[in-house]
Amino acid sequence: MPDTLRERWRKSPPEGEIPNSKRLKFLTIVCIGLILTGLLVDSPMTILRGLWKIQTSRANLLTDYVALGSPGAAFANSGLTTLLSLFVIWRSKVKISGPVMASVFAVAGFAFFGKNIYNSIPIILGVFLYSQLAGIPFRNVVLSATFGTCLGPAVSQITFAYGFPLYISIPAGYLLGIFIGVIMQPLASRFVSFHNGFCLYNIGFTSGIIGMFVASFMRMFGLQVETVRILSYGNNTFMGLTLLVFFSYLFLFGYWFNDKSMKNYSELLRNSGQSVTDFISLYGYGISLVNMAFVGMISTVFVLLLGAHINGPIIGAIMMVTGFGAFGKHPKNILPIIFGIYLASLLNIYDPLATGSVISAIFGTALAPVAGQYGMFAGVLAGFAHMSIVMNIGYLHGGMNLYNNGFSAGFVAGAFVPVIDVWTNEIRGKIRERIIKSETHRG
Amino acid sequence: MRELLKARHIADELIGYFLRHGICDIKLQLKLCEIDTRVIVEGVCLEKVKDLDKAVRLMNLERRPEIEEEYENLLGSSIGDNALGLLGSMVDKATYRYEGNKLILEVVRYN
Repeated sequence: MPDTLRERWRKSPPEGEIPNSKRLKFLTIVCIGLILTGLLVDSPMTILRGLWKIQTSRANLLTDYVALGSPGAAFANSGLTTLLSLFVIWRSKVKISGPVMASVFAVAGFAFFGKNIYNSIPIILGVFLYSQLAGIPFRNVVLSATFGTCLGPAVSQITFAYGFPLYISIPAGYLLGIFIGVIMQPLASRFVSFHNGFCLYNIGFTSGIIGMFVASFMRMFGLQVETVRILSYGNNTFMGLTLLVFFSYLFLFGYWFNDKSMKNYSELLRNSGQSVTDFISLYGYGISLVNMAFVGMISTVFVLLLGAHINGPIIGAIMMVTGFGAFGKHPKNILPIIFGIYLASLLNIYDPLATGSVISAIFGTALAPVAGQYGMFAGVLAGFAHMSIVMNIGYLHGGMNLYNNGFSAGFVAGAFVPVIDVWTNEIRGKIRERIIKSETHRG
Repeated sequence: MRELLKARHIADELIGYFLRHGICDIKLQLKLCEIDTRVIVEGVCLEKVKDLDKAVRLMNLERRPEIEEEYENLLGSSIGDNALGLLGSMVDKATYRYEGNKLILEVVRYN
């Protein structure tokens, strides 16, 4: 069929919608803003030196690029890596929808602790190769390419951790990255059934399984894969302010794009958020930006109120959650999860102020659809369970899967949802029976 | 083969929608052509489905190719109407009509 005819048949975007070129421009400005923020805090030379350290690091959890390079280098790395993702998105001609927005923010966030240009490229190439092998357009799998870079540390690990000569370690790392990219999409489309869309980080869950295989194979041949702890401290004023200013701008832009109103927001808050919930196509681009700003602000204020240190991983977590404000998360469905995880961190053996605990509380909102669908109590329970799993699961992939919380949330959702489902259906059934009985009695 | 699987998932979701709304006498028609895939589901319903307009509006959301490869397996697995937006991102057109006490829902996916 001729392309023009096919295009004419396709549904056209609703009237008054923000054009895709504007959306892309907005995200490009965010990337440039990140690079400029870097230049504001460090000299170009310090940034270049820091960027070199970042590209050549092992990059697995938790490697805070603020501590490893410098604050400026971490911001620049985030801006540059996100620009790479935006280039891929632009080339694939895909529209900036909710999931695409979430993937862009995920890259921006994780480029503060684990993602970089060096370790992202092979995975993107791998997904592209898969699309060619499977005979499907690249735009159909672009989300696997952008989200999938969470296994970047596997590439960095092979290249830089074992002291192999670079002429061996670079091709070996890249081959592994390409292989991961090739298998990412088919596995992701299968694993989504396990948690039924109740874990918003499906690629995180998939990557956890892939990372587990990779780490096990490496360990089998004597290559140790361990988590690390390189963290920065004492940047709360600068980081907190930067985030709050950014979210204020996000809110203002969103409000302006939404005809200077909050229309559709009450509807958005009623959505359970279960995958696939694209807030941008359901409620509009502007109000989705507003929601992203709220979700980001809540996470930032939560960290500041706790008194935890805002470092690379925490910025990453906040950015990721912000992105998912366009793809399933909103204040109503994330707060019960955060509360459940915080409650667990108060009662368990882990320090509630430790970076690991704080990022678990923020990333754990991957389980937001549980609270959205089954209510606050179920959300708190799911959050509580998430804390127990996430603290024990990192060993399986040795910190090579940056979306460790997605891996954990996948298991929690997969185990919780069928049980809650049966339970709530049973209760609903009994209530319905009672209503019918009382109506018959009255009649 | 891919289109076959997608058609099956779409049909699954539509049948799920009918069943969730108490329509149990269902006929399914599946047409796979070179230019498009059509799934037509008809069922006997004694009273009009309340949220049908909203459901069809969701099915008419803009098509999103980047979503379908990863999430198509969710179609037909949901207990509620959460996957109708996903269905909308995979099809180009959704229409419905009543013929007597029969509801006929048709979705088209251009290849």
